Amino acid sequence: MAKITESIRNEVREVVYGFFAEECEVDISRINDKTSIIKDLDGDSLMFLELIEIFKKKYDLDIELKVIGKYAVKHPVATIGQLIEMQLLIIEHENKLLELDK
Amino acid sequence: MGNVTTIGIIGEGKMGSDLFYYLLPFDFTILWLCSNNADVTKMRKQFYKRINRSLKAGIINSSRHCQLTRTLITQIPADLNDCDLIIEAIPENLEMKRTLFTMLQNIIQPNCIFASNSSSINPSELCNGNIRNDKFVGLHFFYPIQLTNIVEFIRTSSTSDETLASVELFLKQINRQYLMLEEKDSFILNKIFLDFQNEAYRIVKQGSCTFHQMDQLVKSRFFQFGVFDFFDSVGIDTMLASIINYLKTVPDPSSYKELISELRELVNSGKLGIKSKSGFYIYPIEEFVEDKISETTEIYLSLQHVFFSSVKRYSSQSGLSQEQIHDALHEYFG
Repeated sequence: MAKITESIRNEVREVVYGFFAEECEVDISRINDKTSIIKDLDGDSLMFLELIEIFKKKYDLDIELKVIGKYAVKHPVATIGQLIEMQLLIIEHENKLLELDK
Repeated sequence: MGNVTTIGIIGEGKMGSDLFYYLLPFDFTILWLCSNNADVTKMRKQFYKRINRSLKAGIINSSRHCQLTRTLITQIPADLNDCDLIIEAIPENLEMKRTLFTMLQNIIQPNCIFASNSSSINPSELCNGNIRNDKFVGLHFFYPIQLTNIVEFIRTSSTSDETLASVELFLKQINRQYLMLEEKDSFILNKIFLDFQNEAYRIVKQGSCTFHQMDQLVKSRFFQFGVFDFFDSVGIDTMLASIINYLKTVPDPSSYKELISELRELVNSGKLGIKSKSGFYIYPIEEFVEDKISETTEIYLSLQHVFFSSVKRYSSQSGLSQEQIHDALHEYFG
């Protein structure tokens, strides 16, 4: 369980912005927290799965994809900002993510 | 029993792509056959971006990266010649799939196992007249594969024990749970859900609630998604085609008549679900202002009764335990 510092928050934002800029072939300056993944970037709601692999490695996370899948169904992500918040929750709570709903 | 070492994936849609990326980290040689040159270019570009990101993030090392850069993404069917297993994930169209397998049997090495990821067409319908009937199976993975650990593994009456053993080993190697099914019991999870969908539709049409109210109830008491959300998300045309295929092996085909008729009307009027921005709902979905249903108990009990009866019936028919079916449904629907 990592405490979310400003530095982690910035790091996550930078990785997420860079990922979508590259994958969706848009200039990074066009991406902000309110950017819609589907409407504005023509992205896929499951793109977050690859990002999770990146963060798992980066922060040595103990998290099963199934846990994230269950959480994501109940808390659908539409914008880049929401995706960043979800990634931060994953980093903070790892496999205990679903306990947030209790 | 032949070990599977080289795998061909056919189809560059959502499922083909998902299968390719799911199998990539395992110790197989993977080849990906796309339908045209433009898609080969697009899939290669995405693939290189992805493996470069994995290298940058430290998920793979440079040696593995170098190995992966040799992955073949092609539009030439003969490139799959040396495969031990080919899994097709092309559109759900019987003639297209038959044509594909007929073509493959003439160019692929004779010991290769042919698998179809179809969600509604039995493998024996695809190997009609094919000389390697003993090497045909259905391998119905569910999307997204990483989040749904269940595969419907369908055998035909001609599938050999050697083929079954090789495929079972392959499924174990890729950490997938599976239900082994005969064709009369194929697509059992979708058939059970179809009974549930049919009952939900009947209740709505009776006037007890709206589509949205029903979906809210289903999401709060049964599954992670609503019945009519699901239709719209998969596509009304795709669902209709699948249901028509299921009618060949369900116990009482006439009981789905009204649902099928509604789906046909939607398809005929171009309402195909999310992809056409209209289906059971209009997209983007506006806020619903209707009240919650005041009396849900009767509806809940009715849905629950149909669901459990369906599980019981298919359990007794297939020889699978009810627990096995519930576990598989849990993987599928959450």
